[in-house]
Amino acid sequence: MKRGLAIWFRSGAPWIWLNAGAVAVCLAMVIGLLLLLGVRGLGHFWPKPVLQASYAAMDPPLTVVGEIANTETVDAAQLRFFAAGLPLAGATIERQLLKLGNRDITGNDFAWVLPEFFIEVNYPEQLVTLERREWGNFYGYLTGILQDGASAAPRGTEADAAGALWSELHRRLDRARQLRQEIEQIERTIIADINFGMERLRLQERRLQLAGGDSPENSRQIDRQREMLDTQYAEIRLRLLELNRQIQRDSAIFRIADGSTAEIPVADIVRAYRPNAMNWFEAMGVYLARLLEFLTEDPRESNTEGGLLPAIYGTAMMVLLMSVIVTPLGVLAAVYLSEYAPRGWLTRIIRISVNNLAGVPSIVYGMFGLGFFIYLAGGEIDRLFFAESLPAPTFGTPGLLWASLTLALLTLPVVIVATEEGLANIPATLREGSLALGATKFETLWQVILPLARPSMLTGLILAVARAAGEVAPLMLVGVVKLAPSLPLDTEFPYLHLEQQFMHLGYYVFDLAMQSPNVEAAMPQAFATAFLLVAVVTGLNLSAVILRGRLRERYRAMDTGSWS
Amino acid sequence: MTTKPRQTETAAIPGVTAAAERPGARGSAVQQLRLAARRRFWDRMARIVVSIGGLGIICAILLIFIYLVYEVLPLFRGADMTEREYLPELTQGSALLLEADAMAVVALRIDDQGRAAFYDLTSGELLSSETLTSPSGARLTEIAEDSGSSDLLAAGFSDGSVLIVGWNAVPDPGSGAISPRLEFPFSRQPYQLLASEPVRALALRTGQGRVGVAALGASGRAVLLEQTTPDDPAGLVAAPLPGAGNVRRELPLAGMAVERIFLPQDSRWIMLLSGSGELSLVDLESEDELEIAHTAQLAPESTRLTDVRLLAGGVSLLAADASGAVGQWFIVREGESVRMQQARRFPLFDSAVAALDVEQSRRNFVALSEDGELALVNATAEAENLRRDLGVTAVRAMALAPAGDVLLLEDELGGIALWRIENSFAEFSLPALWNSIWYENYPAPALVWQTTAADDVFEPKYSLAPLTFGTLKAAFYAMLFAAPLALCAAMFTGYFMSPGLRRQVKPLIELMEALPTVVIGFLAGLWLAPLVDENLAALALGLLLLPLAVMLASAAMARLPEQFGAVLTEGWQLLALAPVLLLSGWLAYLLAPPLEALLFDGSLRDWLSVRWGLDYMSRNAMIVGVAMGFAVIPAIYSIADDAIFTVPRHLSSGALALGANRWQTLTWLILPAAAPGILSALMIGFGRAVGETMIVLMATGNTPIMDMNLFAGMRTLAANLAIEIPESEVGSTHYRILFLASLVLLLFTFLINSVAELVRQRLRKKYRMI
Repeated sequence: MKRGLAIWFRSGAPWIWLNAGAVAVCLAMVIGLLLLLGVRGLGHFWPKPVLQASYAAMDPPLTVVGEIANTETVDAAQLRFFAAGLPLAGATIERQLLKLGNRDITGNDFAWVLPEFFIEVNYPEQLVTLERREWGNFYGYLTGILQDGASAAPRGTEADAAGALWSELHRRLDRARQLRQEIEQIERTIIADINFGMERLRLQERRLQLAGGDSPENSRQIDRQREMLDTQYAEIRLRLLELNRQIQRDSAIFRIADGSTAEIPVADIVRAYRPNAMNWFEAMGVYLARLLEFLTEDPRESNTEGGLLPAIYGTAMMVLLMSVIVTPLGVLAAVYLSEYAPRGWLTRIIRISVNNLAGVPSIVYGMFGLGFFIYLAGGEIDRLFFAESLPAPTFGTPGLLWASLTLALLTLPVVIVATEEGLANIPATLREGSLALGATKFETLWQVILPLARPSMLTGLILAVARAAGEVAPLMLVGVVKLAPSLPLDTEFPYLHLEQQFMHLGYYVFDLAMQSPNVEAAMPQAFATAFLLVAVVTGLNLSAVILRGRLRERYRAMDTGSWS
Repeated sequence: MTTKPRQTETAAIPGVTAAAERPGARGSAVQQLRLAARRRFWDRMARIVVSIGGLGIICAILLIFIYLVYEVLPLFRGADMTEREYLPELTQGSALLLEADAMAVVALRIDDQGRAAFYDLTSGELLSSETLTSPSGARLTEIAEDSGSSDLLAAGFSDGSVLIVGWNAVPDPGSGAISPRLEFPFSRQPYQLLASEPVRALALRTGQGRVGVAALGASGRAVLLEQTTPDDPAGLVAAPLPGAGNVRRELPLAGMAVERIFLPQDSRWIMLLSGSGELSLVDLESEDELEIAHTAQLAPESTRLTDVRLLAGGVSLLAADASGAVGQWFIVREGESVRMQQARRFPLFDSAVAALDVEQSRRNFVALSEDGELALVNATAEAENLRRDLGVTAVRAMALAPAGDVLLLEDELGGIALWRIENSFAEFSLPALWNSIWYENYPAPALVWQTTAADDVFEPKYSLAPLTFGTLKAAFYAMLFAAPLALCAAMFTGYFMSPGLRRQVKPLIELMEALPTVVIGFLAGLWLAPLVDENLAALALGLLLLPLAVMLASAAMARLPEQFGAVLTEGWQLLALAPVLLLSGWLAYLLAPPLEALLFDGSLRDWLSVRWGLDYMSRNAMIVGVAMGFAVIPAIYSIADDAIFTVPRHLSSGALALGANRWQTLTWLILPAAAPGILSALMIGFGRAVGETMIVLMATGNTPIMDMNLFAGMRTLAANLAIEIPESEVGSTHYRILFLASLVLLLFTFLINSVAELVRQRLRKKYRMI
């Protein structure tokens, strides 16, 4: 037996198994991380059942209503210290984080509870979950509807009174939603137009002053235009006031956990559903609606709820701009290095340097972007072209253009390396064939090499985009903000606002995780955003890997002369 | 007719087809020649455009280096001073005070006759003058400057009264004309601090909502008056100084031969200096009449003190002596004991120090020797910024402007020489960046990074050592986690695994590299840290159990009959390990609480902190190690796997044929051959760990401490950049030091990557030869 063990050790089998274990651990970490993000990120949108129970740890027992947000096992000794007097047995105890909602009424919307003290846990079907524009979720029983302060409950038989009330609420919700759309439409288009016009007039005036051309006639003209805008604004304001009055008309009365009633304006309700009464299809409906909201709406409640359209939009704009900059530059540099540069030590050094720049910490690029692009270049541009709005900087402040440029520089080595690899891998036979037929070097390059290298350029670009989409550290310095007031691309001249700050998915995650005042409330949104980001980035990377694999096979086939 | 080269768009290789179809016989010879010329022209043009463009882009990338150096260089440029103006023989009497305003446009000189004269520093002319008198006709005997950051002065008269005076030299916003004048923020009427004896020494302190004046009479009596001014934190209410809320205190100094008094910013203390150079530190909060907390001899044996001043911030005392040295002293409190500590001593000159003056917010001072040699020194950084032999002896008064940009020297003829000083980066010195520095009120020299505080007279502490330490610590723990895992995995996929399966597994592991670090940081900080918080023991146990379980599994497999062995390929091996991993993890989770109760009194964390003094912080180096390890595993794995995989197969075949088993072949043949590649993999992994920003930013507490403890946090260079550069003032010392830090990061990672790349290239060449 002992001898057998020695032989077994000498055979190296256990070490080989340990190595296999390392691979398994690595794979488990990747897959586990993706699964964790997927489950927590996608699970966030599913409407959770809301429980109602009597909590006996309090004296007298307290009625609690809420969603179970988290469950963990803790050291009992610690708990005994904090909750003296509770009969706690065992070394560890399970506790649950209950999302109580109703933050505006009770003050705290999360609480740790010990499930073993629950008595009479039930899931009442009539319990309503409200998602609100402010103050987070609300849980309660619908008891009435008010219109202009007077009861507007629909008449019906006793049996379906609750059902009738419920559908009445939805009718009023639809009305409020339409009104809100109208208000937003006005704010987004007409008011924005007026503001933009005002700002343009101010700048025009300032420019005239700077040029010394502020004659009375000019200023009269500007004043006249300003007056026009003012009257326009006054009209719109009246209309908005009227709409706002209308939207405030309805409110709903709810009974909450402690038995008191609360009045919630219908205008504040984003969505209302009865999670315990829903079947799977209805729940799926809510799920999809929330997912859609996540992808297409603006954020609410300091980013912890609502959608992240501006962040998606900002990320896409930044990446797009970056691609436009980085692709031609990267390809040009790669073509130079691979085709035109003299073969020698200098080129080798340059190649290694470019390679290594991909490994330089991204924050260093951020520093460069901040110092060189923003303070130096941006400051100069402001002085030359935007003197009328100084001292408020136009380009001398973090913004979309500078972020794109910085990331273009950051990803330039990626594109150069990938393109160069593609160029180097093109079988020499093709090149030689073309030259032998009398084509010049440029013609060979333009018509033979580059078309063939197109997929490798695409690979490089995809990798660059994936890196840029996930990069946060440099962006924090050169243009990303927590909440951008407007999108960088809109209908106001010059349509693309290169100087504006923007939102970014990665920074959104950072902000939710690190700078959110209510971390518990921010976690689900952070998980969902992180999942979206990871899905996009891994998708891009996998496509690059597949593309590159295909390409290699194709070249190999060409080299052996059996292409099809 | 000609065929334009671009027109054809046929199948696989358009260009070649076009060239083949190009009709040589058609068209005239002239056309053909023209075409050839055109093609040559375009070829040449392309070469030029691509070369210039390509080189330009590469230069643009190199611009990063150049720009960072450009931002850093001014730090190393020393100070400079030039004489601008000489205001000839304007003055009368001997100066009690000479001072320039904060903008360095106006100078104020007050002489012993009480004449206050304002000079325009650009034109040199006398702007205005007034007389500072006491209504009772008493003579001005003493003037003291504020130890805080205001422009206020205290004037003492021969009848023992004291007046607080301000002065204003703000240009009129409309005309730009300057009409400086004296102001009396408290009261125009002098306050009788001493009873009918001339004021011999005077001290003033403002700030933190209170104003204090101390006066020493000719008879050796001293009185301290303090007023709290709660309405205005700056302490500049326009209320008469004597009044409600005043504390008046007599200090019995009989037999002490006190010559000068100082009021440091910490209102607990007053400092008394005797003629022999002995400094007594008096505790004002004490119940006793006069409790001397500590006495210190400011001047070394048998040397005379020539000038003593409070440094900016009102904490340190500068003592210049006849041996030509200046010492810096401050109060150090350790537990109950208080002492005056000489933190450093600058032996500046061979001859005695004739004059000394300080700036208002930076710890800079200027000293002039009797031989006319001038030295500009930053006390904190222990940096002598400038030394110049001015050749002026017999200087009657010297003043350094509050911002340190103008120096005024009054010579014996009564003329004032004005020097412009360029000394923006005085607080920087290379040794101070790395060495321990004795900061004000610290009990001992320390390595500290602390750049901002609430008040503007804060002493900035620029030591890169804690940040570098944090960077290396984070990278070390990350490598500790990542290197074994990545290398073992690389050995398995690179050597034991079939190429087909390897093609599937490798991209999956490499996918880790693509994961945004902000997501990893988020999970580390908000998911992993709380998880580890609660399950520390389970985690430690799991680390032990996991390899054991794998070994056990392999032993079990070895016992299986032969025919299973053939079926058990690497893919199955990995699959078979999945339940082993799960099982050992579950076991660790299950066993941890009873084990903890048995061995560590119920809590491993408490046990560690009680037994070993290792305090557990939630976001610690272990979390960073795991999270950043996760991020660097793919970098190490990918390169190491390539290095092992590309070792020529015939080497291993030979060894196997000679009877070595697979493990022996790997350890004795493949690994040595691939060693350079593995080394370069580790280097690149290390480089990544050093530069990683988001993970450390989110998974540690970001406190710049130096503690190798696994359960303590740290701040790294990269995270520090992300935290501080947005708040740093453009062009300031702080800003440039941050750029210096980023240059250090850039050079370090660039160097380490270059070496790794060279190693790899050498390896590739070696393989090609085999």
